[in-house]
Amino acid sequence: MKTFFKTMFITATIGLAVSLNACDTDDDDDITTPVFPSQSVGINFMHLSGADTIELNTSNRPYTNALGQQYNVTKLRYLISNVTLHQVNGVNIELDEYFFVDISKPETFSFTGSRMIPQGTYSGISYTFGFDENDNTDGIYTDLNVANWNWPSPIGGGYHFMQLEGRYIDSNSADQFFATHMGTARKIDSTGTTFEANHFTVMIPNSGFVVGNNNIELEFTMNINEWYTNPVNWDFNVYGAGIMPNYNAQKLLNTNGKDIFTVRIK
Amino acid sequence: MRKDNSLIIVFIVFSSMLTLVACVDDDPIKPVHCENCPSENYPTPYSLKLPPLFASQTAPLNIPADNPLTVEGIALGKKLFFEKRLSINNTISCASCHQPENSFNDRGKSFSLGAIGQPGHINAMPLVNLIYADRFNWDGSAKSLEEQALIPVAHPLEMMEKWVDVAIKIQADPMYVLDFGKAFPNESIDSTTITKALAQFERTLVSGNSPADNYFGAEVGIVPQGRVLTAEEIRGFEVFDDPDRGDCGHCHGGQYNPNWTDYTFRNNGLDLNPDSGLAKVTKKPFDVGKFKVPSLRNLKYTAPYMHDGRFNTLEEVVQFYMDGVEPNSTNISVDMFHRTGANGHTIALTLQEKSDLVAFLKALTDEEFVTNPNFRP
Repeated sequence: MKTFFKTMFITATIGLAVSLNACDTDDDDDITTPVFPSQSVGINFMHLSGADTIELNTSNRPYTNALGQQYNVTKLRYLISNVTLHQVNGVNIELDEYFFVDISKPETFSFTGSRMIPQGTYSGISYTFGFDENDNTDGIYTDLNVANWNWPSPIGGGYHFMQLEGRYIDSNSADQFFATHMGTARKIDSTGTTFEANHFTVMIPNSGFVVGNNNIELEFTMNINEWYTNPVNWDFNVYGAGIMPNYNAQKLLNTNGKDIFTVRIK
Repeated sequence: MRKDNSLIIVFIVFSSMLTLVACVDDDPIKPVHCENCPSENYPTPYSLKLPPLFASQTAPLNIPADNPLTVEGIALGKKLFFEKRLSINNTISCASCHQPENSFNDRGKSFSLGAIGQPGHINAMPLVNLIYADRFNWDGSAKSLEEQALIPVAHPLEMMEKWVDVAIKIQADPMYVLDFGKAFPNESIDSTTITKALAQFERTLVSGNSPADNYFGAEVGIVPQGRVLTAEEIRGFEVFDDPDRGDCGHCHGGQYNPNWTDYTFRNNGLDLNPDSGLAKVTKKPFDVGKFKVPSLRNLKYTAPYMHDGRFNTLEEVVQFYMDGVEPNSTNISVDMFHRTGANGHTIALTLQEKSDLVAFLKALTDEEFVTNPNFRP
C-alpha cells in the first residue's frame, strides 16, 4: 500500500496530461500523441465453486469440495490489498488501497471504468490476500471497523482477511456449520505465544496483458474450492467452525490459498 | 422599559397566533400548511456534536437529504415525542414506551402496553445512536427513522390512531402551527412533517460516554469524560473478545465499533421454530428467524432482553449463550457454532468469567445519556 500514493501521483499526472492534451483537439492537423496515454479499467470479482457461480443461502448443499463434502455458502467477505499492475518498463500501478468484497453487495466487487491506467505492455498482476504487517494495524480503517472486520486482539489483532461461511454435510450425514475465517495466526508453544502475519502476496499466473487503444476490464475469479485443496485437502469435519485461534488451520489456508484467483483481461 | 418589551412580545405572539390559526385548514383530508408562517431565517441548521471516539470509528451519519437536522426541527420533534395526542385517546406518547431515563426503552416490560392497555407483540427497542443505522425495528420493517415513526401511531397494538386524526389534533394547536412554520416553512402539518421532526429528534440521541468508551478512547488518545473500566470489567472484555470464550464480537463488534452491533439480522437460536423476523419483510425463507442484532449500549436500563423480552437479567442472557441455544433452529447464525457443538466447540465460562462478562456489559452504559436534560420535555 505504500506505493498507493505514488500510484495516485502517477494517475494524477496521467489525468493532467490527458486534460492538457484535450486543449489541442481542435487542431486536427497536429496529431499529437499524448505523453501518457491511458485507458479506463473496469474491475469485477467473480466467485465460483468449481464451475458453479456461487449463489448465497441455497436451501440445498450444491457445492462439493475436494474431499467430496457437500456444502452451501451463506457468507463470503474478503479483503485484498496491494493489487498491482506491473508494466514491463518497471512502472507499477497500484489499484485501490484495498478491496473489501462482500458478495452480497455488488457495489463492493463490480466497478466500471473509473480508474485509469497507462497504455503499454503489462507483465502481470499481483495482489496481497489480506493486509501485510505494515497495513494490518488495529482499528485504523473506519469502513472495516463498521463492518466488524476486526480480528480479535487475543489472537493477534488487525483485521480479518476472509469470512467464508456456510453449512456442510458432516461425517455423520448431519447438517453442520463451517466458518472459514482467516487472519493473523496465533502460535502457542513452549516458548510462549507469538503471532504470525498470515497474508500472502502472489503474481496471478497468465495475467500479462497489453493496453492499447481500447478500455479494458479485469475480471478476477475466486474459485473457493481452491481454499480446500492444492496442495492439502481440507476436511470440514476437522476444520469446520472455530478455526480462528487454530494455528494449523490458519497456516493451511495460507498454503492452499495461493491459487484461488485467476484473472481474465477483456 | 421591561414592561414595554413584554407588552410588545405578548402583542407579537398573540397577533402571530391569530395569523397562524388562520392558516389552519379544517379539512382533515387535505393537510394544512402555514402560508404566512415565518420562513425567513428558518429553520436553523444544527450541527450535531458526536463523541470524539465516534468521529473516526463509526459509519457515516445517516441523515436523509430531505430532512437535515435543524434546531427548530429537533425541538419540534422532542415536543412531539412526548405528545400524547399522537395516540387515539391521548393517553400515550412515544416516550411512554421509549423512556429517556431508560435509554428510551420500556424498562421492565417484555411487551409495552398500547393506548387502551393492550399488550404489544414485540419488545420496545432502546433508541440509541440510530443516526448510524439504516434499518429499523427488530424485523427491519422500516428503512428510515421517518418511515419507522409512521408505524406505532397507527398500529392496532400501540397508539391506534389514524394519521389524519393526529394531523387534525396537531393543526388545531396554535403553538404547534408556529413550531411547524419554523421547522418546516411552507410545508403541511401532516404525517410527513410530524415523522420528519420525530426522526430529527431521534437522530440526536447519541450515546458515547460509558466507562468502555472512556477506556477505549483513552487508548487512542481521547481524554476520558468519566471513569474508565475497572479490572473486573477489563477481564470481562477479554472474555467478550476472545474467540475461544465469549466470541461476542462477530455480531456485536468490539473496541473499534462503538455502536456494539454489526447492524445485521441474525437468528441467535432462541427457538427451534423461530418467529418470522426479517422474512416478514423480505419474504425470503432464509431470513426466517433473523432479528436485528441490537446495540449493547446502556444494557443496565434495557431489560428484559431479546426481541420478545424473555430474559430478565444479563446473567440469563450469558447463560443462554452458554448452554441454551437451540442448535437446530431454522437459519441459525453460523457464528453460533460454539453453542451448537460444531467440531466439538462449546462455551464453558467459569463463574468468574461470567460475572466479569456481565460487569463489562453493564460498563457499556452511559449514565450521562439517561440523565441528559436535552432529551427531556
